[in-house]
Amino acid sequence: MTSDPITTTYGHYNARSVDPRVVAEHFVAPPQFWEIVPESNTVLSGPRGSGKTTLLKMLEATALERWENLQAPRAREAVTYSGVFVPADRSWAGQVDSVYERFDPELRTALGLACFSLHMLRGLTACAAMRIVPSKAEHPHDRVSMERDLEERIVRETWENWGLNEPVGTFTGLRFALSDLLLDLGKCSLRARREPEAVAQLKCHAALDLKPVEAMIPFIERFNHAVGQEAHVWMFLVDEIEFLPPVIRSDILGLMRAHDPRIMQKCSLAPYTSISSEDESLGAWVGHDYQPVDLTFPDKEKGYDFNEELVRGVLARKCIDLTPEDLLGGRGEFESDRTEAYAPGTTNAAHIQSLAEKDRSFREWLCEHGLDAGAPGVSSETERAATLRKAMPIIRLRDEFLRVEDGVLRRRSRKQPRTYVGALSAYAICEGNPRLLIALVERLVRLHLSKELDDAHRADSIDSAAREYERHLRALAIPASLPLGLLPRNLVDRIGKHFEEQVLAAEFDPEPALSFEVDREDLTRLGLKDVLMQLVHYGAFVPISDQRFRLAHMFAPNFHLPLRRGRPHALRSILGPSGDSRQLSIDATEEESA
Amino acid sequence: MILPPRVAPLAASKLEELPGDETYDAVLASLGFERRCTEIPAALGEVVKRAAVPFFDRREGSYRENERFFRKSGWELAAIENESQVPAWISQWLRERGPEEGVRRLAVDVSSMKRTRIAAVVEAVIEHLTACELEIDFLYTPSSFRAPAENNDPPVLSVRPVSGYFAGWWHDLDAPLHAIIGLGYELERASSAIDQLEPEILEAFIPVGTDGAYLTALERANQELFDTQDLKHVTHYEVADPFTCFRTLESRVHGIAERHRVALVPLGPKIFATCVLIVAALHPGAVQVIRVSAEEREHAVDYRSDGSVYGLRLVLGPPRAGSEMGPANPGSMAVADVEDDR
Repeated sequence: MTSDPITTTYGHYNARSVDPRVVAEHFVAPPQFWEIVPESNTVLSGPRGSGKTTLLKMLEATALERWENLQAPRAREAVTYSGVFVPADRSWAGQVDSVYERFDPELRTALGLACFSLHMLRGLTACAAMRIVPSKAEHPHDRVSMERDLEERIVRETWENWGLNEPVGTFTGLRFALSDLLLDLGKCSLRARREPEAVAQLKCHAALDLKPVEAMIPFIERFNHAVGQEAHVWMFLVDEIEFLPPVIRSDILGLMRAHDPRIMQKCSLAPYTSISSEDESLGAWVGHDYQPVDLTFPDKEKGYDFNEELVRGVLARKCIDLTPEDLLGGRGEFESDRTEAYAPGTTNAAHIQSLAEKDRSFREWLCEHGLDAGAPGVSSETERAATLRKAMPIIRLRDEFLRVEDGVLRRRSRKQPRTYVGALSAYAICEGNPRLLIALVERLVRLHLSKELDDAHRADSIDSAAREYERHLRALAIPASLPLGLLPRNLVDRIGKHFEEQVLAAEFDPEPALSFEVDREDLTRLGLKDVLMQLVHYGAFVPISDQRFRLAHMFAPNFHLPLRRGRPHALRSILGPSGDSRQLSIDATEEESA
Repeated sequence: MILPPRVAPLAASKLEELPGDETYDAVLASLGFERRCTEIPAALGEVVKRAAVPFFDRREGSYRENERFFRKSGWELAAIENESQVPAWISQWLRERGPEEGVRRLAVDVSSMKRTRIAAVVEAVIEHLTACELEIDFLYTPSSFRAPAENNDPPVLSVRPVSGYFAGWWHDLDAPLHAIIGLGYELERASSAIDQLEPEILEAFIPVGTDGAYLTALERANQELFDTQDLKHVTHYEVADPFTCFRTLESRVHGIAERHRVALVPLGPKIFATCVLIVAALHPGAVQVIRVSAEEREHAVDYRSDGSVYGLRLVLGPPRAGSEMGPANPGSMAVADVEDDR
């Protein structure tokens, strides 16, 4: 078990194998936690690192017992069910897929379902065993008392129906026996792979007769009756179901269709699954059989409080006597919407004046809006002040990355300035994604400990994080059919450069295009669907709506972009007919880029 | 009594010193784009039963020349049509040329073999020939040193178990995933594997070649990984000493498999992949061997041998009279029981 799950490397930390009690020790609840807690079927969706596994684990009794926070009593009261965590991950899915690849599709599906059913039953028995053990926690949660003979009776009345060979006497014994059954299924499967005559034997394996709901109900009924909680709900917390083969995923999700009110589930799902128009196993059920919960923060401001708490938590854990703003370099002016951020003498005021001196189109814009470059802060009319605030990130970026040469505005190559330093920028860049934010904070903490923490190093850290995030795109496994021009790294690069052109174009545009729209036809015709799904899952593309996306703000330092969503451009116009996009066979489009 | 498979060291050798037709009863090799494909086969001489499995992609580089060599020298070329038929062909070929046909000593040149093919060989001998009195020498000749091309990795298309046999079978999905990754020049593949597996614990095996420039180039190629990943252990292994590498790896896996799910990612030299696959075969179900591949987008780099040969011997069946511990020349007798060496 990982002893300090927060000490992690950039980009990789998964709570999958962390003891729920350890998860609880470091847990900071995002606002969405309270949407997940109620006794209802839920599908959590969010990119990697958005905390899906952590949130599911926090619904286990042992985590709730350990959580020490002002909000903990509220959570303990709201979680009226028994949380049964069922892990699944890509390596397990790959295992099942590979072992069974030689079998016919029907058998493959049956075996995959049998495996998953056994894992669900293992989770159920582990939870049952936990519930009847008295807790030493200060706030016991979901514990019950059960006499030994009752436990024995329930187990006795269960084991045979679950295809187990030998009697067992306890819930824990039941779990071990299920492990043995899983191992036996594996052995039989491997034998059948090399000896075709063993396939018939495999088809008769007891595990293949298990139907998860049918198998659970008698157990749950007996347990609930024994402890006097007839209607008690057992909530299956199924992690990363996107890795399951579609048929199994559909079956698991089918559980939500109210087979029995005592069995419910909360699943975590990568966001791409809901983009796909063909994969509508969820689509028809929204709001009816399950509640979708999105773990992203399309409105970045809504994540700020959570982000601040997260940073505060890391600092406290590391015994560092700094506030989040101390660590991150103040609140930051790039994202500031305070009036005083434009007062004479401020950095913003200096940028406005400096840009006005070199950028004709900006001067005209100021004039058009009745703004004075020399005293922007004295603009008293609310509307005019708001106009300026809205345009400020563009003004700043143009001033920093444009220079006048022979009377013409030209791109300026320079080391990353301190544009993105500050708490609000850090929160926006990390998109409220705990994994990204914690990784950045840990970089800064190391600088603090080595007494090197200043704005220049903060800027460097943000820049390095952004470049590393972009480099990591190269490591994403892609579908074989994808044209080279659509490799994740190429796609992001082309989109990022297009937006950069909009920001630093010859004519000042206070609201340039910073997002893109993809029509359904392009998804399939250009083979974009797979790569789009993958980039949304990675977090590189952030969905704004079904067909509109923006680049993750983590790319902003690489392409000198503001932390805004901007106006949309059609993706086909961004990829355009020029350069290597010719291999995409995209026709010239009606919409020209600005 | 049938003993479990045992692994023995082979002494390092030079191509020109390899024992030939008097030593091996059968040889299996690959017909691909590297000149290296034919260098061990040529050195082994007129072994009675010889077969090479052709590549079905990247028939470029030295492929045609290699094909001429194999045909001219009377090698059997696998008459199959695509890569998916290779494992079954290998399995069949090995079984048909088992001890019933008088094959006691088999050489497998893994230098240019795809990992899926090495996996097919290991699976076939472990699953079908364990009871046979058979020695299999996995021979490997490193390429001459060549620095990695900058930013030239093909995109990764697939990260999955090398085969169903090596997919492992885990019953406790709560157990943390411990990945051991063998590093090569391909940073993107290593990153991709880590990205997909998201292991809780990560350690690396780093090859050390006889040419010091290799390690320097390899460390430079993987610098980003060293900077950004939390490597719990780093083990340097000598490419020239596969047996020690095997023993170290086997010991690591033995130590962690009880409490962890273990994934092995054999990037780097093919002899490391061979060690990994044998270790995985000796821990059935506990270990998953991952293949990271660019499939048909793999680059064809025409490597030549540096002239040296290293290897590892797998010994099946009952112990033979006169067997003893310690390194042996390729083709000669030497057995080291893994259990005793742990």
